Amino acid sequence: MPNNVFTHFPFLEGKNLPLAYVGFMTFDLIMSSVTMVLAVEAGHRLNRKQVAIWLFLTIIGGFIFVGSQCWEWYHFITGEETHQVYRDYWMNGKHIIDPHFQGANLIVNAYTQLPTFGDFFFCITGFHGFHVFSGVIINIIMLIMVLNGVMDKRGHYEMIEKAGLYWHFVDLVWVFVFTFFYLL
Amino acid sequence: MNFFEEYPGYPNYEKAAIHDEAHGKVVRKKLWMVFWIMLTITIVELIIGSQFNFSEVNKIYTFIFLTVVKAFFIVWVFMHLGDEKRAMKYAIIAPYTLFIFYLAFMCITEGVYSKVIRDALVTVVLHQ
Repeated sequence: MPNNVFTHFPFLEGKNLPLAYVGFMTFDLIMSSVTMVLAVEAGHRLNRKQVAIWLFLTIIGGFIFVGSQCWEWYHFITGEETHQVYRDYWMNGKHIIDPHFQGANLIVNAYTQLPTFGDFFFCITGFHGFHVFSGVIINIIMLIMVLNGVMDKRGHYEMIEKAGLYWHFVDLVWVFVFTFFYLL
Repeated sequence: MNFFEEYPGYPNYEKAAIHDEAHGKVVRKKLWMVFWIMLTITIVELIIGSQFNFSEVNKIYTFIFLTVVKAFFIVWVFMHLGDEKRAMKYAIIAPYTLFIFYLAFMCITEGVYSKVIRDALVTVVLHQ
């Protein structure tokens, strides 16, 4: 059912492209995971410049992901450019038929007869987006520390490894969110 | 005087991961290979999700299997669990894999609960 909801892509409005944008988001997150692990690997070689470059790319990937999620939430809530099925809903035991009903909120949504779909979607992707955002903040702090030479003073880049574990965990969660919220 | 100078025999785990350029090349090759594997799996998932008309049950179990494979690669290679000692890695990976399959199974079999309840409520309202 969600693969009928998310059929839109930026700058290609009006075309039916199921799963295209969320596929791009998944690619972006996997890519930023790879750049993160390459930063960790460069840290193992004590190469400060390469660590900074890969961390910077990871941060860019994180911001692209958070921005994509904002864009997707906007379209999900307003119901523009999305495939909507239902113009009626149940509220307080009354059947309400509203031809202008579109989009989604925490109580009802126009995509499915299951009112919990909106709740789960907002809750899970909201928390995941929040974690991505805090991961980006952690990576920015790491980048500043690397550029200031804190890691070189310590003689090892262990902190990059720890920030990387957080980042990979966020990616790991997205792999499951992607399957259970977009594909199934 | 720092800790490791004071206790010369103590293993320094923080510096144990440091390696040279030649070894780095091998590691990078492995990382990029894992990236291509994961990209392929994602593309296969997207094609199945948007193009094919599988039966619903086959689709669900294909997706869950591919997801667990992807999660395995992230934990094993990107989070460096594969570099741990044998007993350590299986002690971590085995219970979680079992738990993920159990949780997915329960979500699929018990996840209709809210729909069942809702349908029952709708029926009650219609019969009033």
